[in-house]
Parts: sequence; C-alpha cells; structure tokens
Amino acid sequence: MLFAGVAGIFAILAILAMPMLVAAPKVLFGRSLSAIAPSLFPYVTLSLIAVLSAGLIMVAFITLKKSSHLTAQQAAAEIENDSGWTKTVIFFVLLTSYGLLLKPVGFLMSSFLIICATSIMLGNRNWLQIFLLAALAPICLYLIATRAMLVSLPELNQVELFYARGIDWVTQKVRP
Amino acid sequence: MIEAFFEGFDMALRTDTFIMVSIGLFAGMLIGALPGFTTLMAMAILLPVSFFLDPIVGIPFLLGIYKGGIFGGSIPAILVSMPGTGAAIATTYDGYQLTKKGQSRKALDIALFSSIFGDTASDIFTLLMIFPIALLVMQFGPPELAAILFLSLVIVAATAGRNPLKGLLMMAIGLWFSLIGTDPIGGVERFTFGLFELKSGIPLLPMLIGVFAIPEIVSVIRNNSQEIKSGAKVLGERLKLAEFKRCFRTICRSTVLGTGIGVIPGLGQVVAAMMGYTAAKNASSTPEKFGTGELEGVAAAEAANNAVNGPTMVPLLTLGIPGDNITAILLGAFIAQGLRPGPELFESQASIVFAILIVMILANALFLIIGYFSIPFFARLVSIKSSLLIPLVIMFAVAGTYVFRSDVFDVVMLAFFGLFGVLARAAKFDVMPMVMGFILGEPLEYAFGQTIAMADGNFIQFALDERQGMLAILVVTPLIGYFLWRSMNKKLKPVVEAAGDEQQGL
Repeated sequence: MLFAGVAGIFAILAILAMPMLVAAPKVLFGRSLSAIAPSLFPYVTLSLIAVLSAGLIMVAFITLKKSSHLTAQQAAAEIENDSGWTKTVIFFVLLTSYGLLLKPVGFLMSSFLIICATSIMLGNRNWLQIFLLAALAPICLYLIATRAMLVSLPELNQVELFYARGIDWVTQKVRP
Repeated sequence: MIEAFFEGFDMALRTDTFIMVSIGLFAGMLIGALPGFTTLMAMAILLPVSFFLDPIVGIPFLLGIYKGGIFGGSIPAILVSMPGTGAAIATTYDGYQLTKKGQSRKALDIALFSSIFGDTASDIFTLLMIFPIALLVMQFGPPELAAILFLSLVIVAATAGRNPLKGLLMMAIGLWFSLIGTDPIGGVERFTFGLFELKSGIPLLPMLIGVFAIPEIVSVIRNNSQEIKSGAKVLGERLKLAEFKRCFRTICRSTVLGTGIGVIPGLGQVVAAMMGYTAAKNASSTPEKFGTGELEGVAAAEAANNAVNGPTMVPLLTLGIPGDNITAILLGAFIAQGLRPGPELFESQASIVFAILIVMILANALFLIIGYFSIPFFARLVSIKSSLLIPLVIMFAVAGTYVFRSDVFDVVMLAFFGLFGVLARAAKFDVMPMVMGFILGEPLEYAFGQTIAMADGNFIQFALDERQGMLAILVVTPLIGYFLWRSMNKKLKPVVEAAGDEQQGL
C-alpha cells in the first residue's frame, strides 16, 4: 500500500508540474515539428499510475478491514524481518559507498574495502580467507577488464600505479 | 531468407563462439548449482561481458549461461533438496528421494539428459517457427508495430502474477521511466530535473542489474546462514539406457508442454516444470510412486523447464518483445550490440539471427559434454559459503555497470534501481512488467508518432482504408488479454501459486 501510495502521490505531483518537467515542442513557422505533443505520453502514463495506485490502495483498505489481528507466528516473522531490513540497509550503504569511492580511491582499493566489509557482515571470521579474497579477486577482475576486455576501471594514481607496475612486471616475466 | 540461413550457418561455425558458449555453460551451471544464486542473477552480472564481444560471440555466451543455469539449479535440488533456481522446485520432489536411496548419480544423469533433450527439441522448433513469423513481421510498418507493442503490453499485464492491478502499475512506472530523457520524436527534454546525465535517458544496463541482480543478492544476505549443508555427494550407478527409454515418453510430453509455455510471455520455467511434473504424474500408471524417488518425476520437470528456453526467443527476435526476465536481459545485450530485435533485424541482419539460433542448437552438444563430466565438481560447490561469494558478486555487479560507459552515475543508478527492486519485492510487486514497460515505451511512442503522422489527422479513415492489419491486431488485443487473464486465473493459478514467488528468480 505504501509503495502504491508513494507512486500515486508522485504521479499527481508530476502531472501538476508537467509544464516545468516537459519542455514545449519545437515550432517551425508556427507549426509543431512533432506529430504528437511531447507531453501526451507523460500525461497518459502518469494518469495511469495515479488511477492504478488509487485502485490498489482501495483494494488494500477493503482487504485490511476483512483481515484479523496478527497471530503470534506473524509477529515473530515481523521481528525476524526487522533484522533482515537492518542487513539490507547496511548492504545499500556499502553499495553506495562503493560507487562513491570508485573514483577517489580507485577500483582495487575500494573493492578491497567493500569485499572485507561484506564478508564480515555475512559472518565470515576467517581473516586470512577474507584478506586473500579481498586482495586477489579485484586484481584478477582488473586484469580481465583491462587486458582481456580492453576497458578501463578507475585507478588511484600512486597506489594503483604500484599495482599496475607490479602487474606489468609480472606479465613481462611470464610473456615468452 | 534461406540465403540468410546458410550465411548464418557459416557465421556460426567460429571457434571463439564455441569457447565462449562453453564458458557460459560452465558459469551458468556453476551459479545455478549454488543455492540462492539464480540464473537471472548470473545473466545480469555477466551481461556486460557480452558487450565487449562480437554479437555472434557475446549473445551465445549469455545463452550458454541461460541453458547451464536452468540445469545447474537441479544439482542442489537433487543433492540437498534445495533448488538452486526456482525452475528446479519440482525436481526436489523425486530428486532428493533418489539421493536418499543412494541413487543421486542416476538422478543427476536423468536431469541432464532430459534437460538436453527438452532444450534441443525446443531450439529446433524455435528455428522452424522463426521462418514464417519473420516473413510475416517483415511486412509490418510503424502502425502494425505500434499495435503489436500495445498488444505485448496487454499480454504482460494480463499474465503479471496474481494481482493484475500491481502488474499494470509496475508497467506504467516502467513506461514513465522510458519517458525520461530526450523525446524520440520532437527531441525535447522530459523529466531530466536539470541533470545532464539523464539527457540520454535512463541507461538500460544499471536498471537490469539493479532490479534483477541486487534483490537476489539482498535475498541471500537476508537469509544468510554460515551453516554448511552436508550430504552433497554423488553416489550410486550411472543411468542405464533402459531407464532412459522408460522415461522417454514423459520427456517428450514435458518437452511439448514446455515448448508451448515458452511461447506465451510471462509464464516461464517454474510453471513449465510444475505442469510437466503434474502431467507426468497424472499420466502414470503408478502415480503413487511420484514423490518417493521416481526417475520419471525428475525427467518430467527437467525436460519441461529447459524446453522453455528456445521458444522465449521467438517473440524476442521477431517482434522485439521479451517474454520474461531472462529475455529482457538478452534484449539489453542485443540493443547494446547495436541490434534492435524486431522486423527490421530480419531485413538487415537476418544472418546474425540465424547464426545465433544455430549456435543455440549446437551448444547442446557442449552442454552434454560439460554437464556429463563436471557434475561431481558442481556437486561440491553446493556447500560453498555465501560470505565468500556475495562480495565477489557485488564486485562484478559494480565493475560491470561501471565499465560500459565509465561513468560513476551508472553505479548510482544501479543502487537506485537495486533499492527499487528490493522495495518492490518486499511489497510483492513483480519488476518484470516495469522492465517491459521501460523497454517497449520508447519504440511504442515512436511508432505511434509515426502512425499519427502517416494518418495525417484522420486516424480512423487511415486504419480502415490502408491499415487493416493494425486494425485487426487492435481488435483482437482485448480478446487475447482477456483469454490470457482467464487462463492465468483459472487453469494456471494453482500451478503458479504452488510455485510461489520463486517465479521471479529463475
């Protein structure tokens, strides 16, 4: 119900602010260049979202009236869900931090930090295992991306330069 | 068309294609074998790899993951009664009972052979189906295309789970997401909120990885357990020819059922496996044996779920309409390669389409070899800890999202759509109609705009005089929508409900 409510409110606000959110069609010699107005599909879509959200909220209210109180089992499940949501929030904080750290810290360092944090969050307490995973996996992916797929990943000048030089040294040694 | 087919045959016979298909099959089986890790997650995470390969190499690589993943899910289903993917739920009924009897090797063998038979037969059917449909859709212009796109949205809404209102709302949200950016007809900005990054619209890749892979990762994190499952051992004799022959009728029945289900958008592997299993049980002279370790039970479910793989490609390739989450990811791969599935693809690049379909059929031979020899290896993976795998999956998701455009904004979009997917799943909203709305929104608006321009202000007269095909599609659209909605609610409802929410994550 909350999901539909948020979508519905957003749709109504967007319809009201449509002139600010959708630019006016381009005009040549007083005639519009588009066969259909750029705001036609937005109006149809947003109206559909508003109507469907209202419908879903109404259905939810009717169902809510019919349903009885929470059972003990359901209450226990709710408490269990709360701990699940905490983990979910931590995960999204980590994911966003990863994205934000990519440029300033570089791919290898940010991946090292995020792999350590996620592995610990998931209950792994084998520090050697965590360290090896966090140190080696990003290097492997970095090599695949930059050498095999020929795409770039964000690099931090000093630290990543050290890694890159090390990798170059190893590849030169390995190459016949 | 025949010339394009032979040209495609030549194109398909490339060593690098078969190497990448093998890697895809292996990766698919590997991820499918891990309980909680789905084929959908594997495809979403590895999708960016395909962007840096030729279309004839990259797309078969994804198809390899698809085929391997659906079979891989049966390995933990048989060994520890824990389906690796939603499609393997029905396999647990008899597969695990066979393991308890010390016949896990036999169960895994019949699962592999049934999967390959179902897959190969449905792939051949797909190739044969493509010819007449492609010839028909090549006659389509913008008005017919607009009508077909509208029909597909109606089909998606009608088959979108138990609550059509929820499906419709998600589809409308997806349509709205497709409107963000520059208008495809007039070239004016819409809903960009002054952000330069949104001028070219929402990028498809972060959306696909976000709504498909992130909720799966969150689901594993929420249900995380450090407890290692025991009993993942491959025991007993191999399958005998006589036993395969005994199951052959069931395999054929399930293949036909799975193929039929694959053509209908929105149903998918889970429903096919459940229906295949139920049909086999009903047709058996000893139905009481089902659920106690009957080889036919495993064969029925596995042949049906793999038979879905091929036919889902028919609406995707001919009309550009993805029938399920996996084909939505494949559509993303086609678009990123500069190939837009639909009538124009057959006009300009028919040989590539045929090459991909031919590789799809030939890949089944590799599927057999890799599956046969690596089952014991995949069986060991069943007990791997998620605390080691999840961090790697996150790294792949973020790096894969970033490399496509080298833009951190895409990672932010990944987090946004990931959160959207998680909240939608928590509120029991399926994200599939949203993705479909997003993918079909822009071509629908474009084709509709072209139709209006062609009609020159008199749409009804134009439809009656010049575009009877479009009119026919528009007339049958509500009937098809109603028929599918009724079928979903009456005949398929018990099966879909039995499959539960697993339908979302294959």
